[in-house]
Amino acid sequence: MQRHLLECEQCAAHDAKIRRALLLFRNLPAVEPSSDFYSRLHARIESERTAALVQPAIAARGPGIGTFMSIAAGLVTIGYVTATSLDWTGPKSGQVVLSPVVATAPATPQLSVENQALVASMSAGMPVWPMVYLAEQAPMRFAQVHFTQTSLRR
Amino acid sequence: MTDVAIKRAISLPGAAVRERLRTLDDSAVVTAFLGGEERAFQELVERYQTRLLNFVYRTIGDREKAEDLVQEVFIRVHRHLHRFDRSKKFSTWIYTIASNLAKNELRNRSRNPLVLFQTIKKNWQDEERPLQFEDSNSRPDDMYRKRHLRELVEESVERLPEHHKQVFILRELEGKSYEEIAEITSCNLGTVKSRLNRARNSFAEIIAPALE
Repeated sequence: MQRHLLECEQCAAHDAKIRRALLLFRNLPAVEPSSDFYSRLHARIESERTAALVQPAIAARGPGIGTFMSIAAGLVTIGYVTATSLDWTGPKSGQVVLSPVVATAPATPQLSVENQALVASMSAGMPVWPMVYLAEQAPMRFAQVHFTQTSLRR
Repeated sequence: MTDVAIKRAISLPGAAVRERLRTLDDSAVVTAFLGGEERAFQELVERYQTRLLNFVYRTIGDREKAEDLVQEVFIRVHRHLHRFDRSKKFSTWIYTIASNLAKNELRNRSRNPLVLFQTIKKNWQDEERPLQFEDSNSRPDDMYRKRHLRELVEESVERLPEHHKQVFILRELEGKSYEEIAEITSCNLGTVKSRLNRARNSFAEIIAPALE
């Protein structure tokens, strides 16, 4: 390499250029840490140590209310599932099992068309002809039929 | 250093312990710390704070942030020293932590334009600093030339790609061996050599016009 640099002008120039640049870089002034560097570091380490001491103390106090609640809920669920699956809640053998009581509400009677028409006509101030009409028509039809049949027989 | 010698060092009074710790190599200081000697940690900080600060500062280009990161390096060392494999070199381990933190910082900065802006703004403020703070014994024109040159070199390093920059700084500023650089940067030896060669050429190319 050294021999080549002595012979080749181009490579020698390139090598010199790199050496000069590196020399500048190596001679950059060093930056110094600030005067309170170690005291700040020491304070951070101390606070970390204190936090590490507090952490086990919290852990030694036992589980928190949240943990307690979730454990309790879990136990209740497990108990219920076990009781259901083992049929502990059903009737024991030998006991009389009654058929379940079924209660039904009475059906509400449907309103007749005539009544609805009557109510509508009354509230609207219309003449009450449907009521008159019905009062006349309904029984009279049967009467008429009866009379007609009677007359036919004669 | 034998365990007996380390124990003897620990049993000495304050100033004598510090004096004794100064004579020990890194591995023995680590052993002393793990043996319960808190002052051994201070010794490690004294040995590495300036070197790490320069390494991180040259990598990320922000003096204040570099100091914060070096603090973080020592916090991690303090927290995980019991996990350190003592068959390895302590300096390689601590530089690996610093290198990873610096890489993360550059990554975060590229993702967050606000951080990048703050860094640029801070550099402007640095440029406005009066010349007399440079070196009170030099002439003003010399001081100006020196500062200009220093800024030029720093800008040229800044312009190198991140992975080239780290290899370049570790070799040219910290004087690390190729093997150590490979371990710190988690690269193979061939990659380190090629990156270093490219970084040297790029750096010379960037700075050359300003030197002519």
